[in-house]
This record gives sequence, structure tokens and C-alpha cells, in this order.
Amino acid sequence: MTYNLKFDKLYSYSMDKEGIAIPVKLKLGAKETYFEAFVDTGASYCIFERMFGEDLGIDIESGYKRKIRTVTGVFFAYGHEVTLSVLDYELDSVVYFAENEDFGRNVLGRTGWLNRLSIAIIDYDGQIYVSRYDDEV
Amino acid sequence: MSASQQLQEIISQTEKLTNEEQLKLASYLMEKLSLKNEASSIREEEKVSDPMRKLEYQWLAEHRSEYSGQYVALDGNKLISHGSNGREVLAKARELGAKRPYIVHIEEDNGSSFGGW
Repeated sequence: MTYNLKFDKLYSYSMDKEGIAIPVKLKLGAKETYFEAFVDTGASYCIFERMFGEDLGIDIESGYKRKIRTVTGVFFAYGHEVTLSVLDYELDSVVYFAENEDFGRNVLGRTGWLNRLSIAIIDYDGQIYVSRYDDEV
Repeated sequence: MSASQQLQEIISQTEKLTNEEQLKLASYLMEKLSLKNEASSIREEEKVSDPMRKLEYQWLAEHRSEYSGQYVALDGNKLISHGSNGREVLAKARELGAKRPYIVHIEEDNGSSFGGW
């Protein structure tokens, strides 16, 4: 049995990086901030460095505090609703900003991003196919 | 002859032209200027509308190793600021007037690999 999927868009990502790194834009009101983040299908949430939340004028600690477990320990992050734009798709999502200033990794995880899109990755070719989950293609 | 002298010379020559010729010259210059502005706004539009930041990744492909372990702020294929403190790099890019600085943390090339969380 074979399965066929259809997608709206195809993007090529840089093969120079360790991981699938793609550009992200966060928007809140009139403020916008832009940075690189990694696709992480194993992450439950989208978690970003706190400086990007602060760049949007967010008081980080005023958000919903969540304890995040990793293989090596735990850390805390705060959830805030922003407009998350990745690969031409704009989503109003709750994303998390790390409490610790030294947290130096930005990840696009399931809640608020992956669970709102349909995605296929051909990593050998550095290609990512995307559609909005609720779009009929 | 300096550039300003040359310009003065051209202006004085245009005074010898008929009204019709002057209008033709004015129209030529206006069209040229408008094409230039259009090209520049198309370039800006391309930068703004590219969700994959091709220009920034071209720059990274050429310069990544020079900035190992640092944050870089890029605008198109231009480096705006860099350093080990991401917050300072972003603030500097804003201070320098970058409208859409793209921040990338170039991981240190120390022989180790990221193993996930």
C-alpha cells in the first residue's frame, strides 16, 4: 500500500547547520523580532531565548510558568501569546521564553506550530514541504 | 575637472537647448530616476518577502567559520553586528537602524555535536 500526501509549499533549508534551522518571525502589536530556530519534533512546545520576548516588549515572568523536562534536567519557561510566522504561515500561538538568560537554543515544537501544520521533511535533500493543517490541498 | 564643475558645465549646456529639447531631457532623467527607485524597491520587497532569508544564508555559508561561537545580526547579505552576547548584538543592530535584523547563533565548532534534549 502506498500513501500520497499533497502540500502547498516547498522550501529548501541550509545543510550547513546541525539540525533543521529555519527563519522565524515573532510579532506582538507593532513590534517584530527575527531569528533562526530549529525544527524539533521531540519538543512539546516552541521555546525561545528570552531576549526575543523582551525585544517584543514582553514582561517574561508575567506569562504562564511551565516546567520543561529534558534528558539532563529541568528548566522553566513562560508562555505568551504572539503571532508566530514561519515559512509564510502566520499563526496566533502561545510560545515560551526561557527564564534563564543563558538558554541559547530556539526550537519549534509541537504545540502551537507543528500541530497546526502538515509537514514532510526530506532531510537528505534539505527540503521541507508544508501546508496549513486545516487547508484543503 | 571635478564632478561639481562637470555638472555645472552640463547645466550651462542645457540652457542652449530649445524648450522642447529641455522637456525631452527632463522626461529622460525623470524616467531614469523612477526606474532606479522601482528597482531598489523591488530589491527591498524581495528581502522582505523571502521567508527563507536566502541572502542571509548565502552570507552564512561564506562567513560562518569566522564567527564561531558568536551571535550575528544580518540584514540581507550584510553583517550588522556580532558578539558573544545575543542581547547586545540585537540591541546594537536596532541602534544602527536595521529594520529586520535576523539573529543567528553560530554554534562553536569544538568537535562536539548537539544530541537533543
